[in-house]
Amino acid sequence: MHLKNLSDSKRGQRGKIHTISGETRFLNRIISIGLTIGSELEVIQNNRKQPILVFGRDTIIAINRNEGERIVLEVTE
Amino acid sequence: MGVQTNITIKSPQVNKIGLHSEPLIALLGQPNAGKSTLFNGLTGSHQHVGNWPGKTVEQKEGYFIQNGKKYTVVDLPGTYSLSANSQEEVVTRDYIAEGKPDLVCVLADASQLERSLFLLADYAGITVPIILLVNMMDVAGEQGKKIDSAIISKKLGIHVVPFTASDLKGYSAFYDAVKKTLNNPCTLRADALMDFYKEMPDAPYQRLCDLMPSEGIGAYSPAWLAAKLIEGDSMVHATVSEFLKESELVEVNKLLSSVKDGSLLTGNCKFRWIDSILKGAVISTRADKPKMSRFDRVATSRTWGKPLAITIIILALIVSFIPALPLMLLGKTGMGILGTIVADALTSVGVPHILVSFLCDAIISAIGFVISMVGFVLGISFVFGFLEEIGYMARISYVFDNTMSKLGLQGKAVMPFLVSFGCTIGGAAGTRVIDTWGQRVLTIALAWAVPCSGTWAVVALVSATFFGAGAPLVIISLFATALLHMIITAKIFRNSLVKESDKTGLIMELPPYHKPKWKNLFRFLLNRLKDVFVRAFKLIVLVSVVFWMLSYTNDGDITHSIIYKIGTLIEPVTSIFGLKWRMFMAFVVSGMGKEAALGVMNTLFSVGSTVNLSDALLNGVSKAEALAFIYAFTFNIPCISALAATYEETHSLKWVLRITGYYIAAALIMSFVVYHIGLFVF
Amino acid sequence: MLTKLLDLLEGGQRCSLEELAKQLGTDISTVKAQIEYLVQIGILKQVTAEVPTCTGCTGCSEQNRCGLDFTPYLMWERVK
Repeated sequence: MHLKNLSDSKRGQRGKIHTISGETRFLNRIISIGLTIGSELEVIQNNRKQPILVFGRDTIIAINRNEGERIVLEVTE
Repeated sequence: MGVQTNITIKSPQVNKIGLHSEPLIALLGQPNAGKSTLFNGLTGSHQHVGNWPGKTVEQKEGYFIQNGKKYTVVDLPGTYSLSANSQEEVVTRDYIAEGKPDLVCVLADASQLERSLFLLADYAGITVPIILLVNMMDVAGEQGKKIDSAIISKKLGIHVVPFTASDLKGYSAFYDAVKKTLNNPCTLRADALMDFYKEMPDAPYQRLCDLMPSEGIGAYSPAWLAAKLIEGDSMVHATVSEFLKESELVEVNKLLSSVKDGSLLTGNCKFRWIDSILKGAVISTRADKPKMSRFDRVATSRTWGKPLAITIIILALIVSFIPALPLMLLGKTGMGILGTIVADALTSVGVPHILVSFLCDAIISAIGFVISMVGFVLGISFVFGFLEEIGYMARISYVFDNTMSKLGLQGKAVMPFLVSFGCTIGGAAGTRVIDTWGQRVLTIALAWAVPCSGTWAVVALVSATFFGAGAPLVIISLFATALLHMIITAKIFRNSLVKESDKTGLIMELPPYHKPKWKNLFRFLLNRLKDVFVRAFKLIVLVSVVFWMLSYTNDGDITHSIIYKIGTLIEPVTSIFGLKWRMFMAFVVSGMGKEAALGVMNTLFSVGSTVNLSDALLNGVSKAEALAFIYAFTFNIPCISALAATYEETHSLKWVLRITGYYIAAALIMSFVVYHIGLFVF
Repeated sequence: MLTKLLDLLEGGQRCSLEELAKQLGTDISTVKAQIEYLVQIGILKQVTAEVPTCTGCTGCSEQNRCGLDFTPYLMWERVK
């Protein structure tokens, strides 16, 4: 299993959400968007100083860099 | 999905009277209904977590002691309903149907009853006694909702307990309801729902009920089984098949084959039932009409929505000039004065001319442009940030949604368009939500015509310089042209990209209006100021320096420099489009990055010229030429990074090149047309 | 109710939740509950887009997501 922080992922990388850690408000936001453990994601944009754009299940969301460090992906591609 | 079930019930009679020594209570509810909080509140530290045998679903079991009696509590997985769609749901419903719990406690979210009660509607027909816990009463209270649980209790024939996790009084009502129901089991009264089922057109509900085993299967009554069969529940079908005679099974299958969209039919009935339960039981004490709703009705109306949006956008653009103008003045005159001072000071000290020119013409002058430009970026960021903060942007996207379909795009293409106002790269990324490749390419191709913030800054600056108070008119004409450009582009590219017209409807949630959080807005502007300034600085100064090197000559006469020679060579061609060589180079360089054009204009007009920059510009470029440049510039390709992003999203070099070629050609054509119109007008 | 909701989407119609509520003669919570059901049975799908529309890919500061709350665009459409 190849694990990686979302914030360290490159554009175009695909993976499944392995773990999410953080306080409840952050978790609630992620879950209300529809992303859970095992959801498949693709990184659309990851530049320094900008939010990370990910796409999964008809959803594009912008994830803060700090939040991105708390999401661990199991890389599939 | 391969979910296994093993209902091991042989005898259908399962209802136990609650004189059991250790009654078992199961907690059932949708996710986030507060089950865990209740479970923890009841069992404290007396709980343990395991797995349902053979499954990967977590099982939480604990106990509490009340009046000397021990009650076991099982926390069932949070499930939306009791269908066969997921392992959690199947595990949950089988556990209940096998008769293990003596009592099921269903949790509903008081602030979302229409949604929460769906689980109850799916439970209807299961004969295990239940109580309903209406949780989060505090949240409902904050929303101004008052819930009369007595009315609900009467309609459902079960005990209904209003509950708030933090309120200890609720617990005693809960224990009370539990005790009463165990002594006197009440099952959910659902004849109203069954009546609705019987009314289903094209669904032989009553006949199916009659065909079911008369005692049901486990705690699944015939009524429940029949409804599930109509929904196409394969697990129920498999289980029922084992209990029916051959002939009965044949008839059941025949009846089912005539049912279409069973889930829609039963869903309808369930929602009608929920509606009937809540009628009269939920009262909203808050006036339903929030303040902005009258405005919103206009903002989203079919007739007035678009004109209103266009008016607001134009007003927004004009307002954005206001903070920009002082900065523009500062940039131009401030740096102009600084430049002269520095030039004089340095020359008098004997600094070589080349250095003075470099410092003043390349660097200081460029900084002047940066400052001027930043003002416009700030202006527009402020205005559109404000609209976004108060929630109006969503209305804009809503209102122009059917313009999208007229262009051949999906409704949700509005989103990438709006993002392109900021940066075309974001717009390209945003097209990810568009399902078909062809549509995605078309969307991006059209989004290139949307002026990004870099385009805006330069255009606003140039317009303000050359047209003063007439600048807003120029802006308006640009937007009108952009729309026309998009329509034409759509017509041209549509056929090769979009095959069928798939007109799917779209539902949008419009966020509520709210007061802008000024602190956030200003923090945003500050950050933006920093970032834009740095980026523009790098780009403009870099380009300035490069062009300075190309245009510097020892004797200060620009006619001897390389760039001048090249420029005058191509000028006869470029003049056709109304662009003399200097402006043409600015146009070309803008393909690298919109702000870069300013760097070119800066150097080419200030080097070797004795007057200050503003005058040099006004003298060197006629109004018609300026207009031509503005149009060519706006409709040129966006920056190189946008090209890269387009390639990333479309994976088609062919299309990227096509669109690029098209845009460059269109820009030049437009320049030609506008120039000649300009000659006529000015 | 549900079929009426789907009918309103026929032919590429676009509606806001408010409009649906008005057309169906009910309130927004009920409309949302029905939409959720249609998503659960796979007839509708939810599309969410939270791309920053705050005019900037040139930069949001690391610390504070540019200070504005991104409003996600929440849409639903029929599954093809």
